[in-house]
Amino acid sequence: MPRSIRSRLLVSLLAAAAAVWIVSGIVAWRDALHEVDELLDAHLAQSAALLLAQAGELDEIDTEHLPLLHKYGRRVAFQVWEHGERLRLHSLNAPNTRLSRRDRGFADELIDGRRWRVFSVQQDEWLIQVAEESGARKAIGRSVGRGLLLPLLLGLPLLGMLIAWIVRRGLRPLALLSEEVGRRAPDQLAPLPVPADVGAELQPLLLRLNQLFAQLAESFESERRFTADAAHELRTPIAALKAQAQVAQRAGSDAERRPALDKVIQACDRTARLIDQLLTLARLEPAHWRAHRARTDLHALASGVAADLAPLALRRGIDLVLEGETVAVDGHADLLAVLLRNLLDNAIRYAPDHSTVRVRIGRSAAGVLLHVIDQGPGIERGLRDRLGQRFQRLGRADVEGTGLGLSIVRRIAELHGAALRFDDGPDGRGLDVVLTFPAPDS
Amino acid sequence: MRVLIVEDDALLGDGLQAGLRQRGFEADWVRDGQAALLALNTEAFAALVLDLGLPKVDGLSVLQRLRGRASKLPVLILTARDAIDDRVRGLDSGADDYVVKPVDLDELAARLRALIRRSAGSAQPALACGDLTLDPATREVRFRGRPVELGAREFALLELLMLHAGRVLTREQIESQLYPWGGEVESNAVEVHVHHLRRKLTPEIIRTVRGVGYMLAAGS
Repeated sequence: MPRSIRSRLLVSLLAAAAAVWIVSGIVAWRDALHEVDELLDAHLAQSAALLLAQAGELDEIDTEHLPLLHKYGRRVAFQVWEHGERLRLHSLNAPNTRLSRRDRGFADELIDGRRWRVFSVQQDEWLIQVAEESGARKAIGRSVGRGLLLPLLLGLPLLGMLIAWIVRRGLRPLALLSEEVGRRAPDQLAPLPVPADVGAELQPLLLRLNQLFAQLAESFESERRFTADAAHELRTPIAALKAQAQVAQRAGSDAERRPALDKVIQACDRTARLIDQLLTLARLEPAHWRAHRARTDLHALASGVAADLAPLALRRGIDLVLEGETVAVDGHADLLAVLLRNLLDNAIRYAPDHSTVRVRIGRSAAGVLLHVIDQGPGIERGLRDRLGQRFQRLGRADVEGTGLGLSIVRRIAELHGAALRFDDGPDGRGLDVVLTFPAPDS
Repeated sequence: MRVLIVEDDALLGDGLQAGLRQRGFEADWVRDGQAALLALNTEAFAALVLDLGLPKVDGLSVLQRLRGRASKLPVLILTARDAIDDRVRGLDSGADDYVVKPVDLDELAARLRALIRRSAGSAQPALACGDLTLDPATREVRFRGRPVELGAREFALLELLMLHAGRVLTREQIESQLYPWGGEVESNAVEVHVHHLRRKLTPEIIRTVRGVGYMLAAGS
């Protein structure tokens, strides 16, 4: 299971907040220590200056009995040296030896195992050394540190809770969406609600999802309709098959049985052809097509298909003419052959005996043109929109057909990006089926 | 019984026609709605087998026009459309029965017999008239308890007369109900069959109404 966005956000936000807090705490602490140092140093310098100003008049001072003015006050010690060697005056907590070897400025010294901060100043014969135990500074630093650490320790869990609440609230639309999607049955493709406060990140996702749902629903619906259409369309051939079989079964004589059995076989062939066409239609999936796309010579393909169908045409005295030049299109040779076969087959079926069916292939500014022209009855302008819809049979009832041929043609044309158009034949008679393929990429 | 089949599919129409003929019907077959309306205008049928998806005039329009002129002809819709909506619409448009393809020919024949006998006002499967009984399903005829062998036309004529027992049928009505198109009708064919029936049953059973036609003597 992948880590949840919430816990990831929570952990990283907490870590980042804690790091920033700790770093700024450390910086603040060091700043504070530095300021304390400066302040105490300034105090030392001030005390030294004070002592220096009164150096000549100073006598023994019993600092032991001075009242403690501050909790750190006890640790301040001083020495007044004359000419740098004679200790004229010192506080009781100061040693008899020099607090520091230096004559001026600050120094850190170790005296009797304790650390002292010493300030020395010299004027005329006087050398003043004022010192303060560094422990005082440590104590101040510690207490400042404590002051900084305490809110950190208390605040971090509080901050964590706050972050958790904010993160949860921020991710609420996502949680709701996941709940909503999780509740759905596979065939429930109604659009998801897109609340106004869903956020700029989720809104495009939701809209895209809804778009996908709509596409899926449409393709489900078209599948369902196709299956229903197909089942429906199989009823009549099967009814014919059954009727003819029952007629044969009950026939009183061979003379009566034989034609019925012939018709049973015809009905079987027709049902098989319908199934073939249904399968062809079902297999026309874009994915399959893309994998087998190649430069294909339309003219050569048409001549092959025409050769296959020539016997059918000859039987009815129909002249099958292929005109034009070698022209390539980008496409799937097998599918294009199916397209050509369906168009030619249709043209031959509906053409009158002893007429001409013409296939013309050529280039134009718009792309590659394929015409299939017959001299049959044609199709009324108003009905042409319905051509190529599944199971629409607009032709004569006495011409056998499944009503699927042109829908296969339409589908293959769509896959090749070709436009399908129905025109009148050249002299206003018959039908001119025009396919315009895009010119192949060069 | 003469029935009209309206079916645009060649193999199915042919099969229905042959099958119903085998089952004792006189069956005519047309392939579009226009031809169906023409046939219904000019000929007499005992029942109509109607497909819905028809060229020129669709089946429902045929049915509506038929009912529009107050025809009581029994109509059985035989179609590939199996949706409830279609069934409801078909029956509500005036059909008496609705059958989805494919259909068993024996069942179709039985449904037609039932429709025809109902339209003649009877619920009994066998027709009875005095000592005479006729079972359209088994094609058995009994007179005074004994089985009688009848030819196909004789059977059809007797069935017709029994369906309309007590009423006079003109020769034209009989001919139009008995003979499908394409079969030649000899000028005295009806008389010949009447003669045969009288000989095989009893002379008084069919009464001639001079200059009008024939009727079955009820209660004889």
